[in-house]
Amino acid sequence: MSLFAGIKKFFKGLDQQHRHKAIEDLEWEMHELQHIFGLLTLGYMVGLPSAPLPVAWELLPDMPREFAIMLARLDTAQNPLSEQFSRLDVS
Amino acid sequence: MSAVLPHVRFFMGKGGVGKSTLSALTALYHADRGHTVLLASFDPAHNLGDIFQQKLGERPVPIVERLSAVEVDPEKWSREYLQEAERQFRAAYAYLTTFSLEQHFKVIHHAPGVEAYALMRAFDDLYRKSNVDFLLLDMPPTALSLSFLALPRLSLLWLEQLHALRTEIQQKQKMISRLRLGRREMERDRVMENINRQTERWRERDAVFSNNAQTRYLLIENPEALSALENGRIESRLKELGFSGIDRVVNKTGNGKSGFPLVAGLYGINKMRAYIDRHKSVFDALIR
Repeated sequence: MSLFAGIKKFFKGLDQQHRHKAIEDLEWEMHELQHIFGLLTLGYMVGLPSAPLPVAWELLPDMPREFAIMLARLDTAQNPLSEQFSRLDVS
Repeated sequence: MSAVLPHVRFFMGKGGVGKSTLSALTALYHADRGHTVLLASFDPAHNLGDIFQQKLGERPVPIVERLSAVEVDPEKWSREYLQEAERQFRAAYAYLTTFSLEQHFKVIHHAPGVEAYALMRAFDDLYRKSNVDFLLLDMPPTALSLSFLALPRLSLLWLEQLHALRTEIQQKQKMISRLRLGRREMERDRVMENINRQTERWRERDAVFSNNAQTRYLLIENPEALSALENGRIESRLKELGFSGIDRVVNKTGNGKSGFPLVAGLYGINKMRAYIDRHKSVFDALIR
């Protein structure tokens, strides 16, 4: 491998790593927004103020992803800090 | 959708002030002057049937030429709404077998907003299908009436916030898609479509409620403090919601005072017509 090709490969790897990290962060942010969206529409199920029932009910069949996120969050709800630390690679 | 969308009159006020009697008289007044009228009772304690001396039910019953009346059963509309919601939920989340739906729906049945929304569905049905010049509504107790009337504004407020949040989610999705695949096209967002669909429908309802050329709120009271105080609160709330077609009407006045004098045993078409004739000027002033 020529020096030029080596440098090119190095920068390509760096780029991929940064893209990967950026995507990971964006996905986490999007997940959190979806979680907020889920809380605002499904919060009445757990006693939180939420959108009027007719609005929430009509949305429900079209939001299986948010519903799944809400259910998945039940697993980590008791320990939010560990989730944050694992996302930030703090051990 | 019917060819003609009706003028709407909401009769509201404290219990016992004479909402049903005045709504029945107003309906008869319009019908006798050549307008087609549907009078609907939204009050769970119906007494329109007693006033007209006819058995009424869920389907419009002809009273006189051009006038029909109906007694809406809010419980039936609630039940139908929840059954429909449950069916949709089960179809979308069939995999959630551990989720105790029966228990959930039992609780939902008594959740705030269900009764008001059930009335909204009944209202939609009457408004779209009745094909009359006037739709008169004898409203339930004040708390439920105001929840019903506030529903479009409240729903629009929430839908606006949900729309903003969903837009933010879409932007993140677009960025992820661009970073990952170098392309910008987005898959169809059913939630956003749902929000837009609902917004359009609630806007239509809000437009009906706030159009003072088409819709008026008749707040009935008696010449005593309590019913006037309650109407004062109703009026403030309606104004907060942006509704302006409000008329306060005094019923059961003494002779010689402005408003509608108390008449004992006012029921049956002949007695009602005689009453309208005697107080024609008051009706003429009230009806617009």
